Amino acid sequence: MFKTRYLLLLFLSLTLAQESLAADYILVVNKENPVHTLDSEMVKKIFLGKRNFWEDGHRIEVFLQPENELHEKFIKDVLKKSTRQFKMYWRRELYSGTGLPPQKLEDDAKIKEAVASDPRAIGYIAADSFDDSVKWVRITKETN
Amino acid sequence: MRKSIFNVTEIFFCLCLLLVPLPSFAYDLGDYLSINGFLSQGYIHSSDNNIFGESKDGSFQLNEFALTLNSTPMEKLRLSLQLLSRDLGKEGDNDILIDWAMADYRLTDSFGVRLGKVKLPVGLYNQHRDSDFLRPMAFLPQSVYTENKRTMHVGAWGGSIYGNISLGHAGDLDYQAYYGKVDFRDDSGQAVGMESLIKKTSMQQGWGPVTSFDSENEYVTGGSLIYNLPVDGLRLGFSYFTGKSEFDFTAGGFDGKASGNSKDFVVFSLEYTGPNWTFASEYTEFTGDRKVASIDVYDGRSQGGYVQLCYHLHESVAVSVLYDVVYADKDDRDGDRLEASGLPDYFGWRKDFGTAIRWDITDRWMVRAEYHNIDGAGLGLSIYNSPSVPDRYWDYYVLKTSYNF
Repeated sequence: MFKTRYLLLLFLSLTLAQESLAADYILVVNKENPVHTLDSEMVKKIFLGKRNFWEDGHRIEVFLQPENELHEKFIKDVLKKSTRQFKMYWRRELYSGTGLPPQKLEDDAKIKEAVASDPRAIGYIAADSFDDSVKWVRITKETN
Repeated sequence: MRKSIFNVTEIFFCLCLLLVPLPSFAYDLGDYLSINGFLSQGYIHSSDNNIFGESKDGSFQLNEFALTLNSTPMEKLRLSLQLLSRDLGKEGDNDILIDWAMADYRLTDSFGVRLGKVKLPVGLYNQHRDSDFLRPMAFLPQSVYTENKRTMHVGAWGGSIYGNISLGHAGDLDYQAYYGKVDFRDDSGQAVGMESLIKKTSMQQGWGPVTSFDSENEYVTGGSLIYNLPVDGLRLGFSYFTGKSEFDFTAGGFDGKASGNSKDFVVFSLEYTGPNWTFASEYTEFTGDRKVASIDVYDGRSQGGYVQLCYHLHESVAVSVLYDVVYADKDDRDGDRLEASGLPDYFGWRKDFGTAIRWDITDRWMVRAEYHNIDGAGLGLSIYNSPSVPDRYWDYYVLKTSYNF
């Protein structure tokens, strides 16, 4: 009974990992951050500025890629928006005084550097750029 | 009526915003400062009637320039300021005004406080109405976002609370509530409209010519709820606004008071955004509730709404169509009461069919062209055409370009 359950969990974990790898991007946070997984709805809210705080009360610091294929895919898969819609969303927040768009960094290396130096940070990079300077956070399907 | 662009309180508040030290905190991003802005220039040409200014001859008095500053000196505190210079026919004259200036302290996701000059959440689009880049057309639908009431509805010195509440599988809810006081300008639609009404009443009552006129807003208050459904791209909204303004005037030897209450202004909203298109529709009701001395002015309760579809033919090219209608009195849609008082019945409505094309040449630079065919002269069109009587059928087109940074 227990063995079957563990096998199922292992299968699910591998499936999720495969999904993330197949998507080419991975979500990364600082290594001090206790978070291991985030559901897709929460990731969407974080990148749209609707969730601004980690559970410890610190503000989430979001970093974006430049407008490349990886960015386009991440925005489309996770936020269900086109690059244009995402840009317009943040311009609306900016010019209404209700929010400040996340910082855009040059490339994976800069994002890893920023995330590694800030315990509050979150960003996304190409899966093959991942190294142990940052922590890989699995994106799961919505659970709540 | 305020004579200067800024008063002492405003200048002090803005100086405080700009002079606040930007200390280093545990995390290096505490002193993040961003500077953004936009500029736009348009040309408007109308037939038969003037709109906003002398548009029958064609007018370049259609522009917006803004500088937006944001700073986050503390983790939960954001200071922001937008200076705006605009010209829209008779209004604006490119004076530099504070569009907003506020300290925004966000305690949690579900609760934050803004103090200073805050933008007012009326409908889905009022808070970012001044940026041409963010509008599908050169003007937002006039039934809800009436340009000659902009000063009253756009922002107020005071405060607001806001937040986002998660509803789990059912989506989430954005809320805002505010209380404040609005700056009136001599050239604002409200001031011009009220002065015109007082002059007319004074003539009818035989008080003599109006020699002085002064306006002051007592308060505005309201709020909005936007429900983001679990269906991607779908949101529903409701907003409520109410306010009270007083006007002192001297006509002949008579010193009088008038009031104009923007009362129970409600907007119900729906927006659905698909991959290449956005559909939006809003319904509104509003009561002017004006009084000159002891004489009640019959305003009725206005009613309006629109449907608008914006479709992206290409990532950088979009076309929009709009049908926008407003009735001055929902109980007198045919204008019979106006006709009985000696005015044309078509002063009681305005029905606008608009179509537009927009081309985003680059990420920062956009051009647009649009055409509106209109039946009716509601929404105070007579103030732009006095002493002539506006025609019933008319149209206008707009060409405009915008840049943002």
